[in-house]
Amino acid sequence: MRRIQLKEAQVDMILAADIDNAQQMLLLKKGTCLTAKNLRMLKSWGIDRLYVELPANDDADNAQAPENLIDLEQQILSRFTGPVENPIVSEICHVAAEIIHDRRPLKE
Amino acid sequence: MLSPRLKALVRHIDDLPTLPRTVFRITEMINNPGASARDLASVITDDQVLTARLLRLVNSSFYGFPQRISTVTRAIVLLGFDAIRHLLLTTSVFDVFSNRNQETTSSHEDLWDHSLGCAVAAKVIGRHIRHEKIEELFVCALLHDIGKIVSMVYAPDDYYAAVRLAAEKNSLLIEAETELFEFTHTDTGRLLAERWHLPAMVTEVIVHHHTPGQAGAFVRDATIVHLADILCRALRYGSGGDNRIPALDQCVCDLLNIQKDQIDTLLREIEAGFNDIRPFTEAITTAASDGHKAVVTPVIF
Repeated sequence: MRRIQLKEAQVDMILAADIDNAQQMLLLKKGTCLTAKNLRMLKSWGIDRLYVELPANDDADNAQAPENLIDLEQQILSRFTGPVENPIVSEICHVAAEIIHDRRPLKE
Repeated sequence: MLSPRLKALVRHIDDLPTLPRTVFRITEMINNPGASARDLASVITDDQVLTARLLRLVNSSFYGFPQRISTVTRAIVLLGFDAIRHLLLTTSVFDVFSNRNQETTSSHEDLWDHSLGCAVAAKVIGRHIRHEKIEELFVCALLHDIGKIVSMVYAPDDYYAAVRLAAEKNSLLIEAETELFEFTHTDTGRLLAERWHLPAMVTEVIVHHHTPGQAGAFVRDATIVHLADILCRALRYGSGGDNRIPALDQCVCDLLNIQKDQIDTLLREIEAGFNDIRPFTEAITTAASDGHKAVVTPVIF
């Protein structure tokens, strides 16, 4: 999943998350294959960012990263005070590491 | 019995800005079921700065309305009463968060990001557990560390001594504060909450976000903000003055019934929500800086 600006969005990209407007009204559902009409509609609603699925060739980049991901997860776990042998704490560290990891390529 | 240091801070509390009277009047009006959008608009337009901010915000890309909104009444009809209160309170709080000292700019910004991240997280958690007061949770979380701002502005030497000790000992700031002084940011937060006459729910969450089990009638709300604090620290939103993540309180499992398999959805919604609200804070910053010297164009009803 990658967060992009609307101006970077292209026809045939797959939405990786629902798009709502400010009133929580659903505009487009996750999994939608974007059309030119969708893009015009999103622009008219003032939507400027959206999540899209990564193209298949980006998987190679992800495959190189497990070590970083594990490091990140350990880093977050080591910041917890108190007992960490808790399934919720482990899951927080795991998912937060994935999110932070996915953020990285977007920071330029 | 107040310690001398806390007494000194209390004296400064009297110098702290109060929330604009308009915000209180708006809150009262929103709680009145007989109030109309026009009644609310007349209160808002009494305050030119709030009017300018509101119109600027509703016309920002954050809301993304396809047409320009030129009247306060229209903004109220489109956004709803709760959203208006939330928006005006957030912009007013931003004034207190706004920096007066260039040397502490990054600390202020980090704490603002941390507070905003926590507010988004509390709202997401609240929605998941079907909490009936989601907007109030947002405000509670936005203000949960307000005591740190008070210390940062009025007792910076003490505040940064605690930050340094927390870094040296790799501890939470509250542990460093306890070691150095006889009070913590939760005590200074309580003083400010009382000064601002904030609702009991907000005050109790400020005081007990590290010890949610002691929050009495507001234990559930304090637990939500406690979990929100943990999640936004794990996601590295800003900084609360230290690099640690508080231990997960048993109340999270006992009262919120949060399960392991919900964490993925919660964190991803928080990340999306935080990214979405960033332009909102930029709009607030611009609106706030413009608002103080605003030449307000006439508002037509």
